[in-house]
Amino acid sequence: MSIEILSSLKSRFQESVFATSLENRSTSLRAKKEGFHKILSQLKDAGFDHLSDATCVDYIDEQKFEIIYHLWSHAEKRRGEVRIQVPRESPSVKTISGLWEGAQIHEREIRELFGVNFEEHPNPSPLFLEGWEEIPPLRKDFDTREYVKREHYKENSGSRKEGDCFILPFGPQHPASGHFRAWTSARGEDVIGLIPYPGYLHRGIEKLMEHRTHEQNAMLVDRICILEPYSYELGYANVAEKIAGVEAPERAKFIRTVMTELGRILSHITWIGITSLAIGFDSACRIAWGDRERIIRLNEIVSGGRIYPCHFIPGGVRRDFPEGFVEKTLEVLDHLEKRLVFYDDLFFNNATVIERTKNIGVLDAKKAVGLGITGPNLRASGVKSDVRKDEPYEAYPETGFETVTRGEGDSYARVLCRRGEIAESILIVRQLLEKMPSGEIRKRLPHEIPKSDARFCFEAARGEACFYMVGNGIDKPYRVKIRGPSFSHSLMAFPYLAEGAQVADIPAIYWSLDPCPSDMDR
Amino acid sequence: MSLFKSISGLVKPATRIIRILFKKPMTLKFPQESLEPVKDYRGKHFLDFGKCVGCGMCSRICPNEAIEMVEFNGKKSPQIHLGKCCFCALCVEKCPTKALTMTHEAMISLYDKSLAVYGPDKLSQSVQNG
Repeated sequence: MSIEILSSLKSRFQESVFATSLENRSTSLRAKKEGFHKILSQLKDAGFDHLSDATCVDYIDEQKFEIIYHLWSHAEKRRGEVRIQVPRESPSVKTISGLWEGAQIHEREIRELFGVNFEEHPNPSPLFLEGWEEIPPLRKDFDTREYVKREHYKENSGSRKEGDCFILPFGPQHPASGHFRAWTSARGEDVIGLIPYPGYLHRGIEKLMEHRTHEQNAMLVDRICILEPYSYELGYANVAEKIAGVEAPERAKFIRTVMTELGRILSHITWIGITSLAIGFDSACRIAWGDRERIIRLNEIVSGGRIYPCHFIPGGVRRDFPEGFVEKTLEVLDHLEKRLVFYDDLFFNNATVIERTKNIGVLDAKKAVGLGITGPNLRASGVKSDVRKDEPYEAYPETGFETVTRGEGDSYARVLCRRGEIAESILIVRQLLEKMPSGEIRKRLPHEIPKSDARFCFEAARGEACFYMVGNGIDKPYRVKIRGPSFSHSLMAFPYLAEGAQVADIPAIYWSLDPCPSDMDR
Repeated sequence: MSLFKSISGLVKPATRIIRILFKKPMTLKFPQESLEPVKDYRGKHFLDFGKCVGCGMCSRICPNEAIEMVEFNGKKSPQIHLGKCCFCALCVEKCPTKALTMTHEAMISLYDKSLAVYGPDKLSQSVQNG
């Protein structure tokens, strides 16, 4: 099928397509700026219905920006990518938000951080940086150190320009918003519109990673999402191994998968707590966070750190399971299984919770795919999509588990999807602990990152997350792009669902999506 | 929703929570009591000054540039700014003579930022891993 698409694209757009490759269920093609829009539209018709990410890389030596559109077909479980190059002087491309609605948020990010202009973009306003007057910060000629030295220690550096719109602020320091800010305009109790203003947690991790080696970066990626650092550690370790062409030892893979799945349970239990808090059910929050402590304790035993384990490293893991760890894990899993029944009574079948979430924030499958939604939120809308199943990585091929899907697409379906996932994750951990191989846990990677690129996608607790890395022959990556699942959830799905809802439903909708502001902002 | 379901959906959570009132609390009375630290906890550093050869590996690997090599008692030794430290233990991993280790000490909050700079003298005074 993909070969057919490629050859038909090649024959139709001879002058526009100039290089194609087809490997490992992934189609890649380079296009010229003039014809790429038609190519993308044809690819969309051919089944690539999910725009996973759009990345920009600044090749300053060649005076070019490369823009990469990463596509995914939910029906065929295939990846595709289209690369175009634009000159660094006056970079401008046509927007593709007409094809994939979710593209506009990625384009806004690129526009802001690289200064690429997207023609006919529906909303080209700034995203993270308010009142920014310097050159776009992710360009290679922007000197982070010089900027920090100049700006960070200045008196009153925190002052910001006044905005002109205020009706009802949601966040960034609201107990039910995480660190996410949105301005809600409401008439009476009805929400007319919601404009998200991200950036409160923006730390520029992508730029910071360009100044650090693999080992140092492995410590930094923990901070992408505080609630599930293990997933991002796993993603980074894998993308680094992929670009270096090294495979991690089998035991390391198992350890990484076990810890990541425990991290998924940890994240979902935290989410039960925050959601209860957001809808005004404080007792459940305290109880859920008490159970969360048990998994944190497991993290602590194996890695020495509670919240930031700093455990996985490109090439394997830093520490093996200590003695008695498996038994302790099984104990915690037994406890959690019992607690799940308890949570059913307390939270999932609670009449108040059902009342607050049922038929609220309904997202149908087609719209969800168009907005770029992934993970449990997409599965709640009835699309069976899970990177762990579609492109098995690490030790997942050794496991058998169900992809939990529901069809309703409302907030309650999203709640139940996560409940099902906790149960499945417990199952996965049990299977892996049984099959745990022995052997070495770490291989050394070469210091230099070869001059090529690699992309690795994985299923984080919130949805599809990806690392894209470009190497330059030195020990530090030339560019790293991180796709956080919450980027689409908070900035595309949340405003869409909030429109027309009641003000009191805003926290319920927001937390049913389970966004993590820190993986959104990065 | 049926009437029965809504009533049970309201009564059950309430009875569950009331039952918890008679159970042992999950929390501890901090600071009178606190969690027992695990064996390999990553707390404040300890420097075995005699073992340190002053190679500077710790300072080079530190992701946050928290370690500076300073002159002390006639040789170069690490000085750690714990305010910048992210407790990743890469310095401990890289130390060729195992002079740097991590202790269980986690209560290191301070009122003054400048006190967070631990020179070789202060680092070698920490209580070593029990």
